[in-house]
Amino acid sequence: MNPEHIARSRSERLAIDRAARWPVGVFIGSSIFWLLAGSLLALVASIKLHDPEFIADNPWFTFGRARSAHLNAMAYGWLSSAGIGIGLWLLSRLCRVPIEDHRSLTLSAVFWNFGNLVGVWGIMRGDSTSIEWLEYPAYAAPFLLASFAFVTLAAFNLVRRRAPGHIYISQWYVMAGFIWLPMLYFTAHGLLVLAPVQAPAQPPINWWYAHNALGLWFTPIGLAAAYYLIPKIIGKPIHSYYLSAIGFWSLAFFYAWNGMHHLIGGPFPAFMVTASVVASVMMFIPVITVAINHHMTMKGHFRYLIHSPTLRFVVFGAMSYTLVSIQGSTMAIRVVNEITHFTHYTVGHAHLGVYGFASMVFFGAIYYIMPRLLATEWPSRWLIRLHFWPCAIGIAIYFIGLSVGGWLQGLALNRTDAPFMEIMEATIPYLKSRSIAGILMTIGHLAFGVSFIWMILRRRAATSETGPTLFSLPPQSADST
Amino acid sequence: MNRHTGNEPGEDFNVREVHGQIWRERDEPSENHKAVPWWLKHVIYAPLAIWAIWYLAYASGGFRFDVQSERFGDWQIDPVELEAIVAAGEAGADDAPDDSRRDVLTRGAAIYSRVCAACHQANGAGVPGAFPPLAESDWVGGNEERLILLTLHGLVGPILVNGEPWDGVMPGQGDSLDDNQIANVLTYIRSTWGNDAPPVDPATVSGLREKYAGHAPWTEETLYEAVGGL
Repeated sequence: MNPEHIARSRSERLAIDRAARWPVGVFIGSSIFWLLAGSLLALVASIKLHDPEFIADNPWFTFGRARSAHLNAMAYGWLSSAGIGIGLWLLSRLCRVPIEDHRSLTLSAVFWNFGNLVGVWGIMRGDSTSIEWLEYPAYAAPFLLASFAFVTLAAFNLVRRRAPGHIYISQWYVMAGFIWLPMLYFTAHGLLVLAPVQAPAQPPINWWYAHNALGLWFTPIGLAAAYYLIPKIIGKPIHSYYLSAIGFWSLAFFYAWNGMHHLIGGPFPAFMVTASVVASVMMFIPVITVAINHHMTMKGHFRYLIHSPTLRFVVFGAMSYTLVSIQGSTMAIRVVNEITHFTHYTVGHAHLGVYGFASMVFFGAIYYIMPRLLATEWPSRWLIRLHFWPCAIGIAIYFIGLSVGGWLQGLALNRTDAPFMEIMEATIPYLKSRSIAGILMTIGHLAFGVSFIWMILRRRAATSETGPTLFSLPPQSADST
Repeated sequence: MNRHTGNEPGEDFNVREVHGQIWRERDEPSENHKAVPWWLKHVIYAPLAIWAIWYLAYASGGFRFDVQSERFGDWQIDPVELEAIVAAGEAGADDAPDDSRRDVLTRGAAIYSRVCAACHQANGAGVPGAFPPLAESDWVGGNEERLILLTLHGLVGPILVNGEPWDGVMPGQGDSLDDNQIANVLTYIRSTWGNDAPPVDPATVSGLREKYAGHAPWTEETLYEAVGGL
């Protein structure tokens, strides 16, 4: 590479990161606020399941509200805010043009957060729509939709002005996510909340939306970040363009059909559910393809996991993605679903996806992006360790506890002679393990929050001499934050 | 490179001071063009695609909007097939050899024409005022245990079939038909004339025969007490 090219790409990146500073920074910063708020709501809901007297006399924290507020705070407050920020930054970097309209984007971040605030407040005061994943009352939705429209327009603007050349796989994923989410949300919100369709048609729309919010929004952004950060940090190209392309298009083709597997055993046309079971099992194709692509890229470079916080979070997430997707495909098979449906097993699966995969990748991406936006370094490697380990151990306990407990619960529920109360009491130890896991994860999130605020307050000015904040110093100097 | 500022020629700012990360950051990622491994295509993609097509055809309930059971149609007999099965059954093929669907139905049809058709008629329509219909009947397509018990021990007194009142006597067949025969004939009537219910397992018949050995003919009430409603 000639020196001129290097110089050009450096000043280009500098301009990109400067333009992204406010919009991406506000989206990511507020996402961390929602992460903490969502964690506290999660603990309230989790503790209530084995200790019902906990905050029992405050209607704002009854289980039905706390649980819904947790889900929405995490899905729209934490994951979507972080996803928008990360997606915009990735797109700007890969299109090699700075964000043009950063003021209106920053404003849309404010709107987005206002929408979330109104939504969570609405749920907690008792205005939930009671439609899973769409609990925000109707008066919160316009803020979210208006804000996301800005984001999508800004994304199109970036793509339109992009530097000529190959479109990298992360660009495909981010653009797809930015188009899919508003489409999904607008359709589902319209047909279920604004002008509800006839009752029997509502559950299919509900699960079409809820499952696609995971697979066509969190997943593309998470994969885009993994596809960008893994080669960036280890300094090696992605193994195969063909595998990237097959992974992307098969995800796009099969995922949209997946939601109906939530309706197995329900009063819906058999072919509709069967098509969804088939598509869910066909998810083996994108998942195995992406896993091979990532693994072959990482091969021989796993030592970077010792040093790089970003890579460790991202690889943890990518591995969870493989695991959770394979598990999900098996759960869609009818004989398995007959056991796991309506049990805590499903909840364990959901958290391995949104937490073990999406959240962990997003953490890694934030560790990479923020120092570049602020031109500073993370203040303490100890805080990053205190973030990683409780979260990693926490999600492991969470997943194992609820998977074992949920499976046993499902087997018992299928026996006609088992008393319901006994089945419920038998789940309590597993529910307690979930609360312990939740406390661990919250500790990690607090460390993350402290780290972030400390970094913004610039208690430690960094230069290239002090270098990136790594878990430990690598043998030779490497870019790894 | 200027040793003092860390700049490459052409850079007009001090990279090291302004932005340490830019300095150490690697170039934007790219992709190699390694081929898709052969085993991925042949061991993963192809078998999955074949399974998908098979399962879609097998478990879609005939792609009908009014069918909610993915196993619908498995045992269903269409009119053309019914003719062949009934002909084979009437020809006395009630010793058809194996447990394939076709053989079970053929044995069932043979038993039906020999034992049941005299009252319930060859087309399952029954005789108005005397013998209730089996075609599209809630007794046939519903609770399997109830159907087995009344076949084993008989049924007397007033009953409701599809909401219509009937009052008659059905003799028990438990002494003349064995478990397999009862399972076959019930599977046959549950698979035809608009009925769509899962096949009856001989083990279920023998379990009930043992449990209620020597029971008197059932009434709608005693049946309800024993195994519940429809």
